[in-house]
Amino acid sequence: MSQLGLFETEELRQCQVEPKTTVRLGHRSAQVSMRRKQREAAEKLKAVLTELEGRDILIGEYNDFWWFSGLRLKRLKVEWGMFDEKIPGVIVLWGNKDANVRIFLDRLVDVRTQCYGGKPHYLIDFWNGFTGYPLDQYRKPGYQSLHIEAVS
Amino acid sequence: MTPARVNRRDIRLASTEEKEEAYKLIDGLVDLDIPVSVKEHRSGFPAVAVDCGEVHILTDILSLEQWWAKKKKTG
Repeated sequence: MSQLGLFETEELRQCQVEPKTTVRLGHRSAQVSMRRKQREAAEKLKAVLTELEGRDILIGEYNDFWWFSGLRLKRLKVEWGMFDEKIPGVIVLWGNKDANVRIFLDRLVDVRTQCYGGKPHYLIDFWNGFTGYPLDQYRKPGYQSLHIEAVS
Repeated sequence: MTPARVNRRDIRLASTEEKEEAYKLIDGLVDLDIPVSVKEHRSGFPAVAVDCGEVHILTDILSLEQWWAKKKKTG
């Protein structure tokens, strides 16, 4: 293998090992590549939102303390992160009259598509470790899912 | 390995000019291929932690979005 030059930054970046996340459950722990999962899910999400851009969408989420369902964003515009990050920290979904929904992607793990009545519904999944062993102690552990569907 | 702790400069109550200066600095570092991360701060919305190289700030997402929209308009 040939030696990499100092200025071959792209190749150097490919050689770097992504830090893994330690996931705990009871006395057991495992090293999981959450960054890879997040990157793959972000790519899926980008494809979904590109497809939905310009259309009206309904967005909903269920939480233990509150929920919203069928929140309409008309003529969707997507602000895909700032500083042109590869995996954005936050994306903003804009509707008309300055309506907007911000989605922080640091716990993003998957984007699923399910069809009901021939219509695709997109489920954006976030995961913050197991109950009692959260990855981020300041957030609710377990899964949360954001639900998006196109209406026009 | 224990993650390194950093002291973030809190600019949430700083003037718009001061905030924009910090954002421009980070944008310059990003142009030099230094990775940046924007994460929701544990204190909740609208606080976000922005880390880029040796620059670590705590700011609000609203001013950051306004600056980004202005930057995109002016080019």
